[in-house]
Amino acid sequence: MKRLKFSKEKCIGCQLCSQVCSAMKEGEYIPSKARIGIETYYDKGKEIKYHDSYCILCGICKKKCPVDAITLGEYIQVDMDKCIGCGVCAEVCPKHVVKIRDEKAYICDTCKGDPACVKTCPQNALTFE
Amino acid sequence: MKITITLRGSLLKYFNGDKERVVEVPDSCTCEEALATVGINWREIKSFGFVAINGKRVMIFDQLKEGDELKAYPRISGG
Amino acid sequence: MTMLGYQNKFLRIDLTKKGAKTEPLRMDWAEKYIGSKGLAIKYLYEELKPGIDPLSSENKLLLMTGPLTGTPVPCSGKLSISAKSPATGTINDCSIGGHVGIKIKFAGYDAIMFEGVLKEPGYVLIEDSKISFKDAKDLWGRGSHEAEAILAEKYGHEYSILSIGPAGENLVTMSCINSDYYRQAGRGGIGAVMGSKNLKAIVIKGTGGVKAANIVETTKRIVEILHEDVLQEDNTFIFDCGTTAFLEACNDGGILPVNNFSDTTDERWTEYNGDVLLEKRAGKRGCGSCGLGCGNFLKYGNAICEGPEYESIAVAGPNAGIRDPEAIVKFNQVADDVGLDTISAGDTIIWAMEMTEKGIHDFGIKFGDKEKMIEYLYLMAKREGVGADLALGVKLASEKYGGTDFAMHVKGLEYPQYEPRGSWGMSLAYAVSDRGACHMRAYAPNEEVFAASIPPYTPEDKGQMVYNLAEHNAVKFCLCICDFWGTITMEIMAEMMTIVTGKEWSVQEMKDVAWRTIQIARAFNQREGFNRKDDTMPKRLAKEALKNGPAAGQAIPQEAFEDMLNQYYNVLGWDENGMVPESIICQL
Repeated sequence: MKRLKFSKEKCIGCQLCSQVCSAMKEGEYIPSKARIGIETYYDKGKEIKYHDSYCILCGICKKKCPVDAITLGEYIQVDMDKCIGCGVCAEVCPKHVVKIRDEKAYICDTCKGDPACVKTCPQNALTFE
Repeated sequence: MKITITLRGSLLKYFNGDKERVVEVPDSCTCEEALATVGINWREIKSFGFVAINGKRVMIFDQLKEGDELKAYPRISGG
Repeated sequence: MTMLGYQNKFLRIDLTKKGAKTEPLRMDWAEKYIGSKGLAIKYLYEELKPGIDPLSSENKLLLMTGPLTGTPVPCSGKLSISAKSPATGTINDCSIGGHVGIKIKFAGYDAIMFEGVLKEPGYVLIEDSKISFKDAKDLWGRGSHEAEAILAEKYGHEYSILSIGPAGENLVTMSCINSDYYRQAGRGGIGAVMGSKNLKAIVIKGTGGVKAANIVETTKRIVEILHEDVLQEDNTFIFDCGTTAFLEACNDGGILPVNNFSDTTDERWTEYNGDVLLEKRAGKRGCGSCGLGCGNFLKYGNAICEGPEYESIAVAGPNAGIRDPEAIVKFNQVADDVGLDTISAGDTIIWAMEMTEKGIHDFGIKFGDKEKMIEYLYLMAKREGVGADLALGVKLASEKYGGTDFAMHVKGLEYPQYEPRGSWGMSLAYAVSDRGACHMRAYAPNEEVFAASIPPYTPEDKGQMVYNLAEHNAVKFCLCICDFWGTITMEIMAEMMTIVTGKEWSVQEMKDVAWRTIQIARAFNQREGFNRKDDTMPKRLAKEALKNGPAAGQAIPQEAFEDMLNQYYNVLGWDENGMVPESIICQL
C-alpha cells in the first residue's frame, strides 16, 4: 500500500499542496478545507517549525468509527450516507487530517491513489511510496 | 594558443560538470569562436549570460590572448 | 464580464474612528490595472489629495493583492503595500513576501486601506470578517522581531503579521515594514507611514477561499507550468544560492560598488560570497504559493537572518569597506529588527564614512568600521546623537553638511547596489523609476551586463531598452508575481490571467496595463510637482571615472544621460520636461 511521505528538510512552506488539494476536492483554493495542511513558520524568529497534517493511512479513524462509514483499502473512503458526523474520527486522527463539516467527515483519499499534492510539490518534500 | 575556459552555474552541464578546461584555440580568436571549439554555441543556449576575460566582463566578440581565462556565466535575473 | 480570482471586496479601516466597512472593488479599475501595484496606484491617485504631508492623517496605507494571490500560480504570494512616500514625496508601492498576501485574500479581501490615525499605539486584528482594534502600549518601542514573536505567541502560526520597529515609530523616512520576521516592504519609508498612524502591527488570519475559472483544468495547467517553466535551472539557482548568486556576476560585470560608489569590483569578493555565507544555512523557506524558495535562514555566529540578499551584502560589505560575513549578517538582522531599510540606511552610513574620510564633516565613522556601522543603526532608529542627522537620509543630510556630489540618491531615495557607470541604462532606470532610485522598476544589468552582446557604455537605444524592462516588471508587479520567476514571459502572464479570471487577456492587453501603470505613477508624481529636474543622476557618475574592473575609465557624460532621458520620454509620449500630457492623463 502506497502512503504519503513528508520530508520536512525539503519543505519550503509554500502551501501549494493545500491550495491544489482544495481546488481538486472543494472547487476552490481554500487551504482551510484541504485534506492536507503543511506549513512552516519561525518560532520566535529563531527556529523553523513544521506543522504537517497529512494522512498516513494508519486506519485509526476506520477502527473507531461507530457506524462503519470508513473503509480502508488502497485508500480511505467515507460512505457519506452512513457518516453521522459524530467527529470521533477527527478526535482520534493523530495527524489532524479529518475535517468535520455540515455533519460529515472529510478525509484524504490520496486522490484515489494518485495524489495531486505529490504531483504539485515543487521540492519533492511530498512523495507517495 | 592555450586558454582556459571556465563555466559557471547551470552552464556547467556543457562540460559534464567539469568546472574548467584548458583548450587549444587559434591565435587571437574571439570568445565566441573559442566557445565554439568546445561545442558551445552561445546563441542557441537560452540561459547563456555573458563572458569575462580574466574576471572582467567583455563583449562576446572580443579577442583572447595566450593564457587568458575565459569565463562564461548563465543568465541571471531578478534583483 | 465578471472576473474570477478577485474577491470583489475592498476593506476600509478608519483608525481614527476605529471602524471598518467593506465596499465592492472597483472592477472597472481592475480591468485597466489588474491588481497590486497598478490598482494600488490608481486608488491612491484618486483618493489622496495632492500636496498632503505623507506623515499626516491624510495619507493612506493600502495593502493590495491581485487576482492571482491565493491561487497556486507560482511565485504569486507577494503583497503590494503603498502610500505617498515620506522619503520622496512620490507615490511609493512596495512589495513584500511571506504569507500575509495570501492571508488577506483568504480573509475575503482584495485590498485593505488604512485611513486616519489611532489615538494611542495599537494594532489591528483581522480574522476573516471580524476586525478588532487592540492596544499596543506593551509592544511600542520594541524591535519588530520581538513584537512579532509576542504576537505570534498570543495568536498562533495560522496568523500572519506585519509590524514595524522603533524606526517606523519614530517616523524615520527610511523605515520598513516586516513580515514573517525576515521579509520586508523596505523602501521609501513605508514603515514611517504605519508609524505615523500609531499602528504597530497588523495581524491577520483568513480561512476562506479564492475561486478560479474551470478550477480543475486551470490547476492542472498551473502545476504543469510550475514544473516545466518555473522549476528549471534558469530559476532554481535562487533556491541554491538566493541573491548571493549575483555577487560574482556583479563583481566581474563591473557593477559591484566599492566605498560608497567611488569605484567598482572588489578583489576580495570571495571572502563574503554565497558559498561562505551559505555554509551557515540553518533552513530554507519560501513565500506562500512560491515553489522556488529563495529564503536562506542563516545563523552566523551571533547573527541570524534570512538572506542576506545581494543588496545588503554589497552595502554592508564592499561598499562600506567591510569584508566580514558575520558583520554583514548582523547588519542585516539589526536593520530589520529596528525597522530600517538596509539599502537606504546602509547608503547613508557609507556616505557618512566618505564624508569623514574626506574631512568634510566628522561623523565618527570610516570605511571598514563594522561595529560602528551596526551601532549607528540603533542610533538612527531612535534619532539619537549622530543618528539624528543620519536618519535624514543622504539627500537631506548632504544638503545640511555638503557632499552632495557623492550623495547617491534620486528624489531622496538612496541608490541600490548596482553601479551605473558599468551599466549606463541603470542610471536612466534609477532616474525615471516612480519612487526614486529603485532597481525593481527596470533592471538594466539584465540586458547590458549579464548578456553577451549588448554594449553597456553607451546611451544608444537605452530609452527603449529601459521601457521594455519597465513594461515587463510593471505587468509582473500588477499580478504580484515575484522577480525570481526569471523565465516568465508576457505570454505566460497573459495565460495565467486568462485561465484564473476566465476572461481572455491578450499580450497586448497586458502591455496596455503596464503602460497605464507607468503613466499613472508619473501623473501622481507630476501632480506633486515632479518633472525633469528631479530625474537626476548623482554628480559623481559624470565627474569621476571608475578606476577598477571591466568598466575602468567609464563615467557617464551628462549629455549621454540627458540623451537617454529624452529617448525614454519619447517612448512614453512625455514632453521634453518629462510631463505626461493631458491627452494621456484622460485615458488613465
